[in-house]
Amino acid sequence: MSLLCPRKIQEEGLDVQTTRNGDHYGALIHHLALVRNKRCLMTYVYSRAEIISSLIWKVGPVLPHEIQEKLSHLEEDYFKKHSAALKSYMSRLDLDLTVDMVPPKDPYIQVRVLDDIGVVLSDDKTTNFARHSMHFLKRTDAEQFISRVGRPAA
Amino acid sequence: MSKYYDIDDIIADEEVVSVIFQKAVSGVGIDPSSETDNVEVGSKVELPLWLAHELQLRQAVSMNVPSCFNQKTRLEIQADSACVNLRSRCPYFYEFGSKIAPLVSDRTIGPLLLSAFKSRYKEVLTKAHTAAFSAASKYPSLLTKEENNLYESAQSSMAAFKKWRMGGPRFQRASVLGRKRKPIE
Repeated sequence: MSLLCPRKIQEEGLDVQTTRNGDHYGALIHHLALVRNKRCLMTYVYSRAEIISSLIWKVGPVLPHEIQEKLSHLEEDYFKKHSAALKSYMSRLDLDLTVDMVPPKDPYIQVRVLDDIGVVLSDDKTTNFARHSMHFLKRTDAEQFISRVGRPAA
Repeated sequence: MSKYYDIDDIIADEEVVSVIFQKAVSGVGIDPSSETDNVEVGSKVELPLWLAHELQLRQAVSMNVPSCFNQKTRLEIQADSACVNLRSRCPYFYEFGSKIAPLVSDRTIGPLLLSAFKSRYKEVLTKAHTAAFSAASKYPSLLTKEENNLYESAQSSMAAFKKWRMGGPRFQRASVLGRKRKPIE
């Protein structure tokens, strides 16, 4: 290609430093197209990376197979490192940040007992958790029973 | 540079502008009417904005006002701005307009965008609140991308408000499979 050939410019009797001939603009357009393509590709990679790091909040640290197979090796690596970084941060804070994303409205909840548990001692009182009885409890007290049964409370 | 990774910004840059070349260019096949890979001085070519912009800054081309800001559109916007189908003209009407405004000699584009947006915005919010749950509405198909975002967020805020007024769901899923709070010592 004859682009940016200084000899041609000199033959036309023009100054190499300041001249702007057709070749100059041709090269410029090629360059601008290159920069544009770079921007599009960078954005593609960037937005995929954004989605991958958001996955850890949505689906957790282990990806289901149908997502995993769509990732490139670098992206898988990125996901693993990202979740490792998050994990080490959470263990330093001693908090699991991925649960309770919506803060509870009320520290107390009403629960209905699904199984006979018997009399239970909580901080300030004793409660008889008979089957089908309803109680108004502190959320933190009720949680241990809910997680044991694994069923929603009213 | 803050918008470098912005996909909407990239697509808005893809809108075509018709330009007239002020300089001869060789080695590029961007003029479909030319048989060689050269562009002559004075040829009229449609270029995407990202290319036209840079060439305009170097005085290689002169830019014409794009057709979506022509007299016909202006008259329609003056008549009844809310009913104009801006999406079919240019889905990025405002973004494209504000990119174009400093590049062309036409000084009326800025005020046009502002008045069009102001009068349409009112209509967008009213429609979003009143027609909140009629999915069959044809109205969103008239909106530009940006207006559509506003429309959708107005709708979802309205839905959230209604839900809040009803008092929220009675049943909650027990979300205690992990521990957010620090264990009480």
